Amino acid sequence: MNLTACLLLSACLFAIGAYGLMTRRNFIAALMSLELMVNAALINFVAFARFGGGGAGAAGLNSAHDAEAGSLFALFAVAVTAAEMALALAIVIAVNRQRGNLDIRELDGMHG
Amino acid sequence: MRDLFFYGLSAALLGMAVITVLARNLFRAALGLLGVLVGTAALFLLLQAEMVALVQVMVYIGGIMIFVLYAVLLTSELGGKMPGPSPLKWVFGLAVAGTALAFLVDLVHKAHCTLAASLMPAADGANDAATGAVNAAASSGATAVSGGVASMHSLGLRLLDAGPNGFLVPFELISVLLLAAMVGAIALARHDTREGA
Repeated sequence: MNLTACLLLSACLFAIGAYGLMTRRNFIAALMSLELMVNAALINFVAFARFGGGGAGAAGLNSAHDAEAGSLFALFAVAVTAAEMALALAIVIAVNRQRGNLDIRELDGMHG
Repeated sequence: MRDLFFYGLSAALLGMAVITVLARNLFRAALGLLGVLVGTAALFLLLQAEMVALVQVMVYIGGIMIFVLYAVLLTSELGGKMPGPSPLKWVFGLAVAGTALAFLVDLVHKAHCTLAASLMPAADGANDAATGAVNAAASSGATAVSGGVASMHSLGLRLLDAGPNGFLVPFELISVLLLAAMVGAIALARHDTREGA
């Protein structure tokens, strides 16, 4: 287990989520695929916090390893995602009430 | 042993993710997502980020998944099957995902090659950096970071630190964001009885 393995895992997770986001037609299913992609990003944050990876300037002044900042970044990302999902699911419920189905191809009410 | 656990966990995670993306039944897809979130929390524990793992369990599994399951149960019948994607969409989605994966793997590969050269001396110099005056964690007065592991204690101190390396302002801003999201969600999902539309 090292940084590269974690990054590859999160790349695979991101690609699976991207495939789901492209192919899903149900609103909630598309949101779930989006969650997969967010999780891939979170894994990256935590992996970099754990293993460092200061890049080319690893010995430079600006690359002092800061594991707390990495974990806190992940925590803030979780909070932002929670806000996003709360709003998205409220929209899901409103759309379902108004139209009776959740097919995202039919959500063209703002198309003009 | 650790490696074995990591690779087993990764395989389970990816399998659950595939279920989430491919399942025809929406409830089954939600359960797949639940598996992915639990697996990610376990991975965070493996990476010694116990605070992030705890928040993952509390916020994602306890909050967002309950939201999602409620939305699934409110909007679709339990045994219903969704129609599959058309062949065109299937190919398009596969192309996009494949391109993203190829790009990311290439990026990781390049980074791995450059890191392999620079990380070895950096690992030796980690002790020098920790004792150096330029260490950001040390200058903020927080407890010293040892081996890239942030304890819950130091995370809490850092979160409420108003200094240049503290996160007090983002911490307060995120609470305002969550409050705004809560109000917005209630306003959106509320059944408006005043107008007949």
